[in-house]
Amino acid sequence: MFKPAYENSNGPTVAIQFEDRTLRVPVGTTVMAGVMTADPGYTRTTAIGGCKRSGYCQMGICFECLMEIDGVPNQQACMIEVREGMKVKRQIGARELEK
Amino acid sequence: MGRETVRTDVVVVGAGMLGSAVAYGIARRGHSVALLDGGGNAQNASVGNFGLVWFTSCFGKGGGGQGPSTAAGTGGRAGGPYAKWGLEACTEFPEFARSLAEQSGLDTLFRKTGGMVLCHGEDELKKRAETVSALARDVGGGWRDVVMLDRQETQAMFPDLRLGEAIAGSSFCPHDGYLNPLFLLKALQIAMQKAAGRYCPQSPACSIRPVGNHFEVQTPRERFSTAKVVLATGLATTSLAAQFDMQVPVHAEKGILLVTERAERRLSMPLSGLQQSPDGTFIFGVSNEERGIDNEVSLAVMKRIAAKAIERFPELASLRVVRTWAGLRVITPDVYPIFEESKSYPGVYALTAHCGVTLAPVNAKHLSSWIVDGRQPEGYDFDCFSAGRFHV
Repeated sequence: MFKPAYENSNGPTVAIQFEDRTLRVPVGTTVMAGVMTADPGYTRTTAIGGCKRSGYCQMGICFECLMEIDGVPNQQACMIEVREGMKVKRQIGARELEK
Repeated sequence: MGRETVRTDVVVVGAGMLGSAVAYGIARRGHSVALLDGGGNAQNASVGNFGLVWFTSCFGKGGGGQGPSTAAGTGGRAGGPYAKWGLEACTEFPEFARSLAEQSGLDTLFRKTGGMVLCHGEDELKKRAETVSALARDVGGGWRDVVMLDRQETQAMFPDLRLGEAIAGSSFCPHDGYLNPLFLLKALQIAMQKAAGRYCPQSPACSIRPVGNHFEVQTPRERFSTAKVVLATGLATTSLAAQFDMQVPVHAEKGILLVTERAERRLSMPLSGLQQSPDGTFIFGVSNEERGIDNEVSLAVMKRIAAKAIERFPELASLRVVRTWAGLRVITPDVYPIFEESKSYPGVYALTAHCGVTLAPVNAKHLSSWIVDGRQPEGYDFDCFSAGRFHV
């Protein structure tokens, strides 16, 4: 469904883990943009209604793209750059509090 | 400028919590009313608050519901009536919220949960116990229902959240609760309109002039001819009321709020300065700064507020703050309400009350009756709410 709007297939990439898949994504892209190339369908479920959602504004305003990144819940995936070995998961509902 | 003149029984200037509640009450009594909303940031306190229905704040100077560290003054003639006003409001709130939801189609999310003031350290707990028993003795009413809890009893009220080491105990008030203040404000305005009241957005009162035994109120859009004018303009009330020979002293008290990301529901009851909304966000307060009309947030105060929340419940430390803002409370010298009719210009009223959320049911009921029928609410020493108490 999503294709990068730029042609840099020969450029450098990093490997990130999205759920149980490994994705190779261009260096310098955002987590959200990287995950979208894998057609995730949705990237979070809402805290109240449990509705499936994904990034919308891509510029840090709408908070629809919240994901768990390297164990930290409710991160704005559109505002964070990919790094080699990053572990990205869907944010499912409200986060838990740490014990 | 407006060409048409609209005739109405009452013009309420100011569409904050107090003005909207009074206009709602007047409309429900079958009188015609226009509610003027200044727009912009005009309703700072009504939209920037914590959403507490808080009997605990219904006492005098230093009170304001701001926690146990402030000294409570229990004296003053208005103290008893204010506590009674507050208790009636809290008692009626469930039915009020229910019928308001029915009339407006908007649920305020009101929950009567009881409310708690946590005490940091034994000294604070002891002081709080003394304050509560003094209020029970001198003010009475709902204050006799407030109970002191030790650390263990306090922890038992929060099975899902670990109480910080510093918390020695608390006071618990069964009359308290919370709601969404934005929904309450909107519901009052919608219900008023359904009762044929007129809501006028972007309508600051540019001039209010007596003409014969009526008043002409001019806004950028319209002109109203009215028998009565209610001034409920928050921090602007002092200057507006002075035009009608009323001295209504109010000043701004800044409170900063912090809102966190949404998290699982762990806290089912609001505390003074800490609550979790039904949608999962935690809201931290409560600061008091007297800096005039200034709603800047400062990092130093934010840090102090966050540190206090973590001291209460250490598990909150992992949460991130996503929003913050400052609201300006509208405070009279003794924190009690002022309900005043002009002696020089009968038919002009100035109203101000901190706790516009808590007091909404009685403000809607009693103040509307006083304004349209001239009837003072029964069972109250109502004159003590006059600003005359400051001019002895």
